[in-house]
Formats: sequence, structure tokens, C-alpha cells
Amino acid sequence: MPPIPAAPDSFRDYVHARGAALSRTALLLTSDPHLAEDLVQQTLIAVASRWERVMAGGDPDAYVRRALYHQHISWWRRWRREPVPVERLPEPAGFEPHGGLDTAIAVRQALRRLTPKQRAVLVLRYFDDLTEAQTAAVLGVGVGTVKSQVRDALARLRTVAPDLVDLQEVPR
Amino acid sequence: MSGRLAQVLAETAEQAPPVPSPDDLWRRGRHRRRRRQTAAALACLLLVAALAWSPVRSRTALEFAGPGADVLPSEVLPSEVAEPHLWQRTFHGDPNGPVKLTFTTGHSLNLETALVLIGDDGSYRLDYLSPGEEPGVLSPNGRWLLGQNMTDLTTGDTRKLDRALSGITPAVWAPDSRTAVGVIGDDTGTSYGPDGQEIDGPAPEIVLVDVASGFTRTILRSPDTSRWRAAFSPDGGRLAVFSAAPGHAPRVLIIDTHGGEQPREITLTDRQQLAGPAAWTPDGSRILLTAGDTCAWADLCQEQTWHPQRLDAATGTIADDTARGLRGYPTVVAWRDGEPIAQQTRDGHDGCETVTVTATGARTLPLAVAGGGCADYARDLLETGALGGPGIGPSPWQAQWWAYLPAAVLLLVLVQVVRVIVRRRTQVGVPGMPPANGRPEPAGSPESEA
Repeated sequence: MPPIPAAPDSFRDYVHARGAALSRTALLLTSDPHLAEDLVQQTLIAVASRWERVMAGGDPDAYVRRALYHQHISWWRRWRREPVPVERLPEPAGFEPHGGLDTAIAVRQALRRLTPKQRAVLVLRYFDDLTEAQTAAVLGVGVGTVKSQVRDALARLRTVAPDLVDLQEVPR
Repeated sequence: MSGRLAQVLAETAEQAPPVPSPDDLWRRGRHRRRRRQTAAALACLLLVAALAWSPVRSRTALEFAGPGADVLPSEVLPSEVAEPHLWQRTFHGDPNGPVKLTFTTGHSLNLETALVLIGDDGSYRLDYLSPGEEPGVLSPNGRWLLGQNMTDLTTGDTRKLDRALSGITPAVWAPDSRTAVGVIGDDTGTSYGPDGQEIDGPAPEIVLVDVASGFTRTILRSPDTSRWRAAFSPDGGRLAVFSAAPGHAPRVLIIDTHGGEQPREITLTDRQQLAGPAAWTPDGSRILLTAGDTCAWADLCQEQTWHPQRLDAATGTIADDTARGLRGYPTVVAWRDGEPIAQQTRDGHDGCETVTVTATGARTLPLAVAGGGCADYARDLLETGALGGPGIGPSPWQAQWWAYLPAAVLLLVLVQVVRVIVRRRTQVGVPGMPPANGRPEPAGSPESEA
């Protein structure tokens, strides 16, 4: 039986192994690289403060994923009423099927048009490739809620960025 | 399942920012953990402190134990009385009369002496005194405090007398608490003539005070009130007034308080003086004197010892009691079981001792009170109440209004900490994270309408 690494070492190993994936998820959730970096950082600090308990649970990934999503929703709750001054409203970008950077911008702008929970269910379902039940477990909601959130999110995406969504993915 | 959406999500995610250093994350995580643990420990400490200080556990409620357990607590005198808290509630803010006793203390926020009033229920109240202000004298029933005017200790109201007493010479109460005797005009100072000679001002007046009406009646003018003492007979019909001043022989005048008889004067030596406000024996036949064995009372010699004497009020003859060699400077304040109770101070000794003067000496009573000088007991309680009750201390919750501000802040902090802890503990699977609200966004939310 291999020796159990000390807590700081196991945490370091975990971040090296899973940090990049977390960062990608965070970017899709926030649609902003800076916010994504902050989200990952705050989530991992919170995880580090309870690392012994997280390890004792036996599945750090599940814990960290839940922490990331809840932290994101918590931010949204805190900041949603704060106005963000802008000099000029950005124009929505059109979708370029073969332009990588433009595609990324278009996707992020489209995701911004969704609510945080709609964004979360889409990322969990179509990026993390979780089942509806797993998505419901991560968000702490029922499967029916996940279904309705996915349906609403895809419907909205179909409106704001129809090229992103296959027709058959949108339940009617 | 994946389709086009999964593909573009994966492409977009490739532009994710770099992950922060795990060592820095670990260090900051540990710091947060320590703060959380400190907050939890502080919350526990505050909770324990709040429970320990709760009024339920305060010692202000007397629980008399022992042979006199059937005696009501209000009729028990505590064996020890502690100093008040600095933030103790004031008497005028919340009167607690009738009171068992009063004493003065320097343990006061106004940097002057304060009077402490101990209510029948053991409650503490403070009355801040102005510089030079005398505290007043407690009536035998514990309801009135007589200084320059009269204060009703049950309501806190001040009853103005038609002529205010000087307040410098302590008043003396009749045993029935309906009458008192005090002095007016002994606070005018010394006047000097054009050649520097002293001029006699008007002699101070000794007046009877009627509690019911607040009127005073002059019964005597006396030029020598510097060592003035007085005592009412048990029925209040006669008053023994002792006066002694440099150049005047000490004397006792026995006055009919109704004005029907001429005063009777008995001259004393400078080693004799009236024993105190309870100098009349309970049968009203004799007046107790204290006779110094070593020196004149005015000399205040350190080694003074004394013995009691009894002056026959009818004949004026004086007889020694059997007790000898009592030490200190006594004042007889009550009688109990036929024996006088004296409070005495001694040079070089702190505090005040309350003793019963017996046929052979003195027996110390269990009446210890903090503060400076001797406590002023309600005489009725001292004569008929139970002694040796449990010691009492002030409740920290009997506080002035401003003292509740820091307590309220502490309580708010405690509540907030508990709320945070409870909220985190009730998370669904994620300690430290807010609960996910799985319901759809309410209509009208900013993003729902976007």
C-alpha cells in the first residue's frame, strides 16, 4: 500500500493534475478570463482550507466541482445588483464557423446572455459531459430542474446564437 | 449529445487562464482555516461568558440558609457586601428603595465619592455625590435619606424642606422614621471684624423635621455644633443633644420634643460623649455615654480605649457599665436583644467594625461592607432582622444604559458568527459554499429578461 502523501503535497498534486480543467470550466462559467482566474483561485483557497475533510470524503473532484459552481453562483448573487458602467455597449459578434478566436468570443458573449444556472447546466452537460443526475447532484437540485434549465438555456441560445446549437438538441 | 455545442465549448475553453501557484493557494487556504477556527473559538467564549454573566447566576438574589430560613430575604442582612461595578445603574435612573443599607465608595466613574444603596432585594444603585456633598442619613425603615432635603428612596423624588438643612452635620432620625433632627446654619464659616477679630455669627439652629409635611421647627440654638450628636428616646418624645466645642464644656441637653418641658442640661467631662443616635436604652430610662479611658475624645489619641456609661435621664446621675477596655471610636447605632450595637473605627485600621457591646466586652457581628467608613444600616433591620445572610455582590446587568452598548455589539458579533457557522454547516454537500438554488430564475431577474 503506497504511503499517503502529506496534505500540502496531495493538494499540490491535485492542483497540478486538475487545475487546468477547472480553469477551463471557470472560463465557460464566467465568460471572462480574469473572472475565471479569480473564481479558480477562490475556489481552491476554500478547498485548501478544508483539504483534510475533502480528502476524507474520497472524491476531491466532486467536491471541488460543486465548490466551483456554488462559488460562481454566490458571486453572481452578490454582484448582480451592482451596475457596471460602460461607455458604449459592445456589438454582438456574428458566428464564424472556422475562425477560432471569433468563435470563442461569440460563444462567451452568447453564454453571457444566459443566467448563471443555465450556464452551469450547459457546461456540466455539454463540456464536463455529466449526466442529468450527476448535474443535479453537483448543483444540489432535482433532475427535473436540470432538464428545464437545459431546455430554457438551449432555447435562448438558439435565439441569440442559432449557429451554436443543433436543432435536434433543442427540445420543444 | 455533444453535437455542435459541445465542440464550440471545448474550443472556447482552450483559452482558459493559467492556474495560480498551488503553494500560494495552500498558504492562503490555511490562513482562512485559522481565521475560521479563531472565530469559532471566540464565539464559544462569548457564549460561555454570556451564560456565566446571565442575571440568573448573579448573586443579587439572597438565599438565606440556616436556622432563620423562614425569614424573608428582605429581612436578612448580608454578612458581606462587595463593591459595585463602575457601570452600576444609578439610583435616580431606577430607585431601589426601601434599602437595607448605604455606604460610600471611591469605586466610581465620576472620580468623586459615590453613595451605594443596597435595596431590600440586594440590588445595587449608585448616587454620584458632588465634591464635598454629604451622603445623607438613612431612616430606620430604610425609606428616606435625609441630607439637605429628604429623598424618598422608593420613588427617587426629593422632598424639599421649608428650610434646607446644612447637610454638614449628619441628621438623626427618630425610631419611628417620622421625625428627624438636623442643623441649619453651621455652614456659614467664620466672620471677621474690621480689626481682624472673629465675629460671632448667628448661632446654628437645631431643628426638628416633620417627614409628613417637610416643615422644620427650631428647638434650640447652639453655638457649639462641631461635635454635635443627638439621640431620640424610643417613644420620640425626648431628645438628647450632645454638643462640645473648644472653650465650651461638653454637655447633654434633654429636650422635650413637644416643647412642654424646659430642657435639662447635664455637664460632662471631655472624656465623655453621647454614645450615638441610638444612645437611649430601649426602656427610655437611661442614655448611653462612651467614656474614654486614655484621653479626651477630641484628642483622637491612637491608643484610646473606652467603656460604656449610663446617664439616668431623670436624675442626671452617671454610672459605669461593667465592660472595660473597648478599643476604637464608637457610635451606638441600634439595640439588639437588650445590648447596644456599636460601629467603631480605629486609627491605623481600615474599615469599620460592627460589634455588640456585652457586659464583658464586645462581640463582632457578621456585617462586613466594602467601601470607605461605616455603612449606614436601616436601624429597624439591624435590630430585628436576621444577621449573617449570604454575602452579596452586584449584578453586572444592573447597568447604566451606555454599558449595554458594548454588550449589544458583542451579542451582534456572536449572532453573526453563529449565523455564518450555521449557514455553512447546512450547505448541501459543500461546507463553506452557499446553497444552490435549483429553482428556475424568478421572472423579472436581470438575466432572465436579457
